This record gives sequence, C-alpha cells and structure tokens, in this order.
Amino acid sequence: MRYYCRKAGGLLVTLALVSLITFGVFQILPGNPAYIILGVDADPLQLEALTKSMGLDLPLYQRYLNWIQGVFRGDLGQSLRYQQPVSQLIVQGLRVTGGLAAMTMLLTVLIGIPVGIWLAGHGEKPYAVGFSMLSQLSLSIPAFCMGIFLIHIFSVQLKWLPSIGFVSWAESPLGCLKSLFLPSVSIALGSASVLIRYVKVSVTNQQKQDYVRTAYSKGLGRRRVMYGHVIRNSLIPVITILGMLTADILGGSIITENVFSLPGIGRLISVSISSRDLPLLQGLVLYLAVIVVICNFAVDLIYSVVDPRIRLKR
Amino acid sequence: MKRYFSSSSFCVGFVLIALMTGILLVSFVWLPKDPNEMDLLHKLSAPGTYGLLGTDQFGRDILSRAMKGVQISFLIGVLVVAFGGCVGTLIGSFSGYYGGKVDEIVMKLIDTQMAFPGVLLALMLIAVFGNGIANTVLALTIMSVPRFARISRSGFMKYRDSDFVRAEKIRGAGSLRIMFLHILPNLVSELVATASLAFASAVMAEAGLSYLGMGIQPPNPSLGKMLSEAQGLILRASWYVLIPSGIITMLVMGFNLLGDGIQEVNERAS
Repeated sequence: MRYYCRKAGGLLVTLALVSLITFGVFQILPGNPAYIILGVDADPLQLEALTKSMGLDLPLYQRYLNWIQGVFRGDLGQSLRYQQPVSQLIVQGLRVTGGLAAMTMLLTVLIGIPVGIWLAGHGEKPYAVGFSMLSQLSLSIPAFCMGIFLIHIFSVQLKWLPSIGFVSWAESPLGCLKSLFLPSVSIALGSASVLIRYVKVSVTNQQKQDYVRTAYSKGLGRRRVMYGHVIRNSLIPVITILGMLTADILGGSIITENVFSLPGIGRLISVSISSRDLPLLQGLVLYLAVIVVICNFAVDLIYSVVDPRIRLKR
Repeated sequence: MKRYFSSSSFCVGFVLIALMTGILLVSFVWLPKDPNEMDLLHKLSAPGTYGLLGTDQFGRDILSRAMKGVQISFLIGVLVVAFGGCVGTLIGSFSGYYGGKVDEIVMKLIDTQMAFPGVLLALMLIAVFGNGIANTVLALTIMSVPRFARISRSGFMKYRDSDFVRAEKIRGAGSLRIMFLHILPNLVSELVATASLAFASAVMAEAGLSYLGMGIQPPNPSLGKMLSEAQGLILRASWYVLIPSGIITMLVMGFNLLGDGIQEVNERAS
C-alpha cells in the first residue's frame, strides 16, 4: 500500500511540474497576447479592456491558478485561429490521434515481440545479424521519410491504399482503418525496432539464468522451457519499454500526421505554431504531456501487479 | 580504439560516418555550384542530365544543396551534443556523486521533461522563441540534456563508493578533483556512446522540425526542408525525395550504429 501511495504522490508532483512548465514557457513570450489578437494599431481603451477580461493584469501566480482551475473544469481557453474552445478541438483531434496511436502500438507489439524472441533464439547467425541491421535501418529512417516512401509505393504506384486524408470511423470503419494503416506503419517500424532490441536482450538474459538449466535438467523440452518459463519472465521488463514507447509514438505522430494530412493533434500543433495560436498550443502540449505521464504511471502499476518484487523492494 | 572494430555495428557505423564526414569536409572547400543559385531553364532535371544529382523546382543544384544541408546537420548535431553533453554531464555528476535531496529533485525534473514526447518540447520552445538555427539548437539541446544526465548520474553513483575514490579521499583530494579527474575518465566511453546516439537524434529531430517548416529557414538548405519540397514533386521527380532522405538515414544510422557498437563493446568488457 505504501508503494502505491508513494507512486500516486510522485504522479501528482510530476503533473504539477508539467503544468508549471507548460504555463511558464508561454510566459517568457515577449509582448501582450491582447496585442496579437487586436493587432498593432489597436485602440488603447479596447486593449486595456481585453487585457483585463483576459486577466493579463493579474500577478503571475494568480494567472497560473486561474489557468489551472480552468484546466480542471475542462476549459483550456479559446483558440484564436479556429474561434472554438481549445478543449473541443482537442477532443476532435484525439479521435484521429488516439486511433493512430492505438493502431501503431498494436503493430509495434505484433512485430516487435515475435521478432525479438526469434532473434534471441538465433544469436550470432549471419541472417540474424542481417536482420538486426535491417531493424537498425528502420530505426534510422525518420517516420516522416518512411511515410513519404509508403505513400509513393502503396498509394501512388500500387493504388492499394488511400494516400492522404482521414475517413472517420462513423463514416466507414474499413475506410478509417485503411486511412490510418500507412501512417501507423511508418511510425511502428521505428518503435518496433526499439522493442525488438529490448525483447532480444531480455530473452537472452533470461536464457542464462539458473532456472533455465534446472528446467532443462528436469527433462523439459526446449519449447516448454521457452514458452513456459523464459518468455513469461522476459516480457515483464518489456512492459516498461511499452510505456516509454507511448511518448515516442505520440511524438512521431506529430510529424507523421502532417505527412498524411490527418486532422489530429499533430496537425493542430503545427497549425497552432504557424498561426501563433498560443492558447491552442498550450492546451495541446499540456494534454499530450499529461497523457504520457498517466500512461507511464499505468505502466508502473501494471508492472508492480505482474511482478510484486518491485513493489516490495525498499 | 582497436577493440571497438570487433563489433559489426561499430564497423558499419564507422564507414557511414567516415563517408558523411568526407562529404562534409569536401563541402567546405568545394561545392559543384552555388546552392542558392536559381536556373529556371533547367528545372527538375534528372540526375546526370544537368548536375550530378539533378536540379530542384527552381533549377538549383541538388548536390550542392544536399552538401550544404549536411553541413547544417553536422553543425546542429555538434552544437547540440557539445552543449547538451556538458550541461547534462555536469548535472548528472553532481546529482549522482552527492545523491540525497538534490538528486531527487534533479531526477524528478528529468522525469518531467521526459513527459514531453519527442519533438513536442522543441516545437513549444520554437513557438515561443521563434525559429532559426540558434533556437533550433537551443530547443534540441534542452531535449538532449536528460540523456547525458542519466548516464553520468548512474556512472557517478557506481563509482562514488569504490575503492579508488576512497583512497583519493584519504589522500585528501577535494570532491571536484575526485569527480572530474578520477571518476569522469572512467565514464568517457559511455558518454561517447551517448553522444553518438544524441547526435543521431538531434539530426533526426532537426530534419523533422525543418520538414514542418519550423527549424532552419530558407534560403538555408536543410535536408528536412528539401524533403518537404521534394514530397510535393514526387510524381514529377521521384528521385529528388530519395536524396535528402537517403542522406538523413545514413547520418542517423551511422551515429546510431556507432553508439550501439561502443555500448556493446563496453558491456562485453565489464
């Protein structure tokens, strides 16, 4: 129980820091946001009124408290570019990005874990080394490069899949999966390579353990030892990697969504930067960071349930 | 140095980086053409017909632009690794050597920073400070600090109670002397591996930012920017996109493999 309390405390501190950073960075910005809205030659009276109504004349801590209260109410302010509440835009974007991230994670696990296990069993054989190099290559091609290649091959040349744009799930479930397939493949190839490496190392380490020798000496077959003992143990640390990959995948989707013109969070981020829509950007950054923190927290919890040794340590 | 060549990752990485460094060095003394010179009569000519790697949509020589782009990538990588490496190692060394409250606070901050996925923090800083080379370097440096801090922290924690440190303490050596003359040299190979991996991520992140139009600004050629231009022309000139993406991939892969190779050999030795 103490373990969980400590973890929850840590979570709260991290969330508070994340919100402080997200708030603080935007305060460095020179100039009055009211200027940006009204333009340079704004009427001084109007400017003053807007400054007051936006709460910009309040001291810094007061503004932070106001902002954070708004965050708890689900009110992240108004987007300057879209003239819509930021929270509403985020919810819309999340439908796309959430789908993309889920599909990418699924592909990452489906590729990463079997290949990692397979490579661990084949050690230093030439084709295994070649395969490692191949996974190194897919790790080194930036997701957006991969995206461009995939569009060129599968939608322009072969015309199998749509190249850009998004079809919502409500419109056509198959179309939705199709429109998310290439983007998620282009992110997943990189993250799967990371996963492959960790799974391989983890399985290799477990194979050297004493209990494996015991299992063999009591007459179990290779298959039983691998699937019954080694893999079960070696996948526990892999859970942590999946948590870390969440951040990678979300980060990758920021750029990849722009390659495929998907109307998700990543697209909103680049639009908000180029149109200097700072309330929107602030909301998006906060939102993504909070998602990552919560995912990592969930991973820690799962980890401690699967492997109680972690919880009981110290 | 020699033992590192026993790792195949290191060898491949070494060759790739030697190749890229060769291109970099040549680009300082010789470029086929002025990278920003437009020639509208020879737009999008294929490789070999006009210029070794062809021309882009304004008739600019792609080879020259790519070589200039390699310069920018190296510039960003070197600066980010230098600044991020110094700051990160310094933070990590104090945090790891002294431990205690300071260490807890530093680790909490680093964990928090890790919550901002990938290029998000860089994008946020660029939105605030504006784009351009200096701000890109600043943003990517902040991104790379935790990496170095973690590695040096764990190294300093490992050695702070070791016999040679105790011996130095008994001899009366000061903490700074112990930290930077006795412990740090033991961590050089690990830090070099980290630097190599951080270089690769910096190059990749810069390409991503410039692709979005938020990193290096035109007319400066950047590989990421070239890629976004080439993407729009992929139907008319599909070879164009291969050049920047190939170079980015070789750079990133080279440094990744080099870093992995060094780590592999270090682990084998320990």
